[in-house]
Amino acid sequence: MTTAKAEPAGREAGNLVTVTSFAGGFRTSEGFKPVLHDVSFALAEGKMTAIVGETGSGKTIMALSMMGLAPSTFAKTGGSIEYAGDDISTYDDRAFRCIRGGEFAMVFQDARAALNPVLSVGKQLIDACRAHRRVSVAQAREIAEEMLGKVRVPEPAQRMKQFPHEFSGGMAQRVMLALALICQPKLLILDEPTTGLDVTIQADIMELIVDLVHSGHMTACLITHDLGVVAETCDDVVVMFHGYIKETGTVVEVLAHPKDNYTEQLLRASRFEEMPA
Amino acid sequence: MNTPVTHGPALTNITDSRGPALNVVGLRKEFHVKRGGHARTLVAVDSVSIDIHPGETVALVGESGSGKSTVARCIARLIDPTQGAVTVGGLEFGGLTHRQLSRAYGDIQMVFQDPNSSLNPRMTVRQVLTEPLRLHTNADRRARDARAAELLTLVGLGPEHLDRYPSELSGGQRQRIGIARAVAVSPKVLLLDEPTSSLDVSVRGQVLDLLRELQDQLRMAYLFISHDLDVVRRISDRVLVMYLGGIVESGTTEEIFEHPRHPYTRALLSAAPQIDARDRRERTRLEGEIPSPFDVGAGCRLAGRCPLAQPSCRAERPALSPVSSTHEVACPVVLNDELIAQAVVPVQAAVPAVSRK
Repeated sequence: MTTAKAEPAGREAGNLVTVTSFAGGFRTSEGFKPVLHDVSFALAEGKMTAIVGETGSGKTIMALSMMGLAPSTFAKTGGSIEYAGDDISTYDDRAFRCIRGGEFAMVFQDARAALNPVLSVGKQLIDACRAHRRVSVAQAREIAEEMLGKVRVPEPAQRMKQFPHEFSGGMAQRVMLALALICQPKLLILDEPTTGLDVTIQADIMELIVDLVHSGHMTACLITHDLGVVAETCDDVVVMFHGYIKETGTVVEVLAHPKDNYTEQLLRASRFEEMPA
Repeated sequence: MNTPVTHGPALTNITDSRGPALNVVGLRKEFHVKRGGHARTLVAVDSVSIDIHPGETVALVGESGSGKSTVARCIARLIDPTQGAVTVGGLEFGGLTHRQLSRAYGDIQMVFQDPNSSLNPRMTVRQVLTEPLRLHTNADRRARDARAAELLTLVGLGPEHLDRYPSELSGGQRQRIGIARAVAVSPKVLLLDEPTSSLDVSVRGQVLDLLRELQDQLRMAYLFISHDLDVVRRISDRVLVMYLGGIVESGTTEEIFEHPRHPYTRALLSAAPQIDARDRRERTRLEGEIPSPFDVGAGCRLAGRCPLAQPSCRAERPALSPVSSTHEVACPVVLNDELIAQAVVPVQAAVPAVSRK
């Protein structure tokens, strides 16, 4: 549980996803630009792991790679993402479709932009449910309504008929969460789920996420830049900077005794402590 | 249009060094919105009064929809307030014609949230920085160029940045240009609308340091609009907390952060995530979400969500009442010891992380 690369000892058995020496970059008009370098970390089963970094750290492209959603301009140059004995980074889109949504689900930053604006929320939930579970429309409707209740959307039956624009930012994020959880995924990836929400709403949503992840025995991966949120909600943390892993460990260890220089700088900046020039 | 405009005598003489740089009294802004076929009135800002002295930073804190940006836009007369008086450096803005107003803008400038959209992508840094000088001073081209280079040094950049376009700069550098542009004409008042919320934490600190240094040098009055309480705590002398268009609590930074009284202030402070366990507060929970401004009744704006709400709260809107000479709160319940003993939860207690397994 010290610095990069080295796997936390004795954790292997309990890891849902293991990323090993993963590397890749973007094909641009100016040639190949590497953005991930030798990235290794693991998502421990039943825990919430944070991937922390600033703009350009590669945290989002790492998360998208785990979901098989990296843009077509992104190319892997090495390493593996292991899940259930398979290297999913070699999967094509068709193979990925079997796990994406069903076993891996993702919550995006701007829920109102991520939801389909021309379909009712109920329709989107029912479709997602039926894509991965063998249930009738009526059953799916029941599951969807129950799910909306679980994410604490008041009057779920009424809300099912409404469209994303009729939801506030916080409520839309709850819908997004219901959409992600409706197929009972094993892994929930959350990409800045509360950025852009007000602090009081953020606190409610994060509390809900922690409750759902723990009560559903899920594994979660939270992509964020906010160390405060990490400290209050996560178990493990992975610190990224410019495409490199700077530090991995438990939240308690890393925040109290950062071993890496960048982690320390990030902590100091977040606490508004003076930084050496 | 290109003729240089000098400050009128009215602007330069009135400056009273001891009076407030910015004085806002009873600001109210109504929007008339057609909703469901009939026109309705939305009161976005109601009875907001603010005093800021030279060299002082006052923060306006609130969540989306609280009206904090509307206050700033009314002060800068980007929109016309429905009621209330705004005085900048002793000059009352209300009666000014457009021509007079454009001169008065030399005294009040704005820094916007998103430096990507508030800088014209087709203008070089030189053009961005010399434009306000062209409009508000009678400096010639050479003097303007020299001032632009000086401004760049002032905000921690160099003359080599003069001929670059915004797209060639990083987010932090762009925000420095936004600040330099606002400071170019030596305004008395700077309105800062979420100046750091689009920046990474490592850059945020540098921009705040820059703002502080500039204030020390130029004695500007800052109205700092933000929802980021950590930032507000570090930069402000006084804090105003807004909720649904009204100020619910005002006090020194210490009073607001160490002894918050209003249930909304407490809820806001207790929701901010903290890295260190000792900084965490027990959650003060509000029911539901911020209601539509159309649905605000006659009583306290928070009544529908407040854990302390009494029947009397829904009848009449509470006015700001003094707690100390510098601290005011618009909540009769927290000022009444009997009522508070029944309902209040300790806010100061540090608690471990929320709902861990």
